[in-house]
Amino acid sequence: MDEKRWACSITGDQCWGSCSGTYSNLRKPSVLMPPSVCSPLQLFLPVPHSRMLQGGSADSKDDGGPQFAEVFVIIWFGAVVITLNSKLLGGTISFFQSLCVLGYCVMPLTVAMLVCRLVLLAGAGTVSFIIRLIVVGAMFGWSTLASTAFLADSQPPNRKALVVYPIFLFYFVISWMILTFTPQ
Amino acid sequence: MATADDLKFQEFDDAANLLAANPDATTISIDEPVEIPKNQHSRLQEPGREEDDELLGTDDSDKTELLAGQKKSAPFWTFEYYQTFFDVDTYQVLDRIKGSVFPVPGKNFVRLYIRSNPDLYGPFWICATLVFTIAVSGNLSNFFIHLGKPTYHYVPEFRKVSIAATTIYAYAWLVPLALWGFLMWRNSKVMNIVSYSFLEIVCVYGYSLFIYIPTAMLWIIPQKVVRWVLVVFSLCLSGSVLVMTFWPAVRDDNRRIAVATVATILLLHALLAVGCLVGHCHSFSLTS
Repeated sequence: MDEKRWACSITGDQCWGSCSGTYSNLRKPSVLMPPSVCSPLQLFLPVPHSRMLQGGSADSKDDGGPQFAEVFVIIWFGAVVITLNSKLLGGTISFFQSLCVLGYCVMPLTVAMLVCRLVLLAGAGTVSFIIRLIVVGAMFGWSTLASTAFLADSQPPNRKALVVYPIFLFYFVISWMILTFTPQ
Repeated sequence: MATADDLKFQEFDDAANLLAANPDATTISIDEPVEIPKNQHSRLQEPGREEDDELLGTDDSDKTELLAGQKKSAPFWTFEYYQTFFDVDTYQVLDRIKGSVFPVPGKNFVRLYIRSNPDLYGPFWICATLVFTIAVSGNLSNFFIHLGKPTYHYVPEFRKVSIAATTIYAYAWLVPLALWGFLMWRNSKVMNIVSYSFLEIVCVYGYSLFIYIPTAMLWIIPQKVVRWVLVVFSLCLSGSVLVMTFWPAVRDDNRRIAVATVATILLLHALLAVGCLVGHCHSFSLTS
């Protein structure tokens, strides 16, 4: 199997693997996700997320809605900080693997974002809010559980909660941004 | 075996011999201020001081600093150096949070919980949580206030997050820096001021901010009176942690400086609490 196919099949597995919480292929020592493959893919995942969250026109700075750069920075900065936190607490996961997992696990929330936008097209009343709340809540739970399943295992057992909490906070903030987003 | 000399009445000039035999003893003279040496193992101390030793741990503060120096022996450009600041387990973090929320009168937070193992995990993530809690609950309370008004357009306010983050992190790092510098300066002037290490002060400040997280969540309640009562209550709790940490350290200094130091600590803490409340309530949105 040539290098490219190998890499693509791995990333396909990775993507589904991260979201379904099964990481057996990530653990194999021969499958060290090369940063060159991981980063571009992961780079593009938050981009549609941020684009969809971008509110209003770019020159109306006062509307307070999230601009593309803000969302992008939050997601990337948050992922880096959580990875650093996990490593400082003594985790055995590699830096890029952790960034990888966190990036991929934003995918359910991207799906939630899509659904929210579609629901908002139908109307912005109480019913739509409840639907959005349920969808975002479910996706938030999925993202957190999926990334926790991987990242917590690489920690010593008495520090698992210390690693899980920042991940929870990270996805909570993203979920909050999604839930409160209303296009003008 | 008692000799006749031992039974003789002791003259005053024997005091000098006594002092030569026990050089660490406290001497009290009417004209000079009381000089208490740093090593306080002498039995001639006032009884109240022993409790303060417990509070300050001055008998092992030298050892503590040595230990701290030995622990962080990795050079500062290596990753291992920074790992020593995250050398805490879950139960330790929870204990420290509990200690900051339920201050025990007379117990020093630093000596009781931190014990020469200051961590940066607590301060950093408590500040982060506080920033987002203020932002989220601010959005929520704004939303509930304007609920039902057709002209209201809800917007999440990111400027609030940036300002809150800057303020809270600046407070959590710059105030301990200033306080640490001040204590070091006083330590050079007055011998028995205990100066905590910079990280211990950051730790105390970080954990003392924890009480504001549930307070910020309760600020969703739209009553102004309730909000101010909450502010005062949480200020008392976290302020008491700070006071009980720093009062034993500065008490031996000039009275006015000691009182001024503690008053400044409390004032800055109160300013932060009030600033958080104002930032929470203030809406950056132009549409209303």
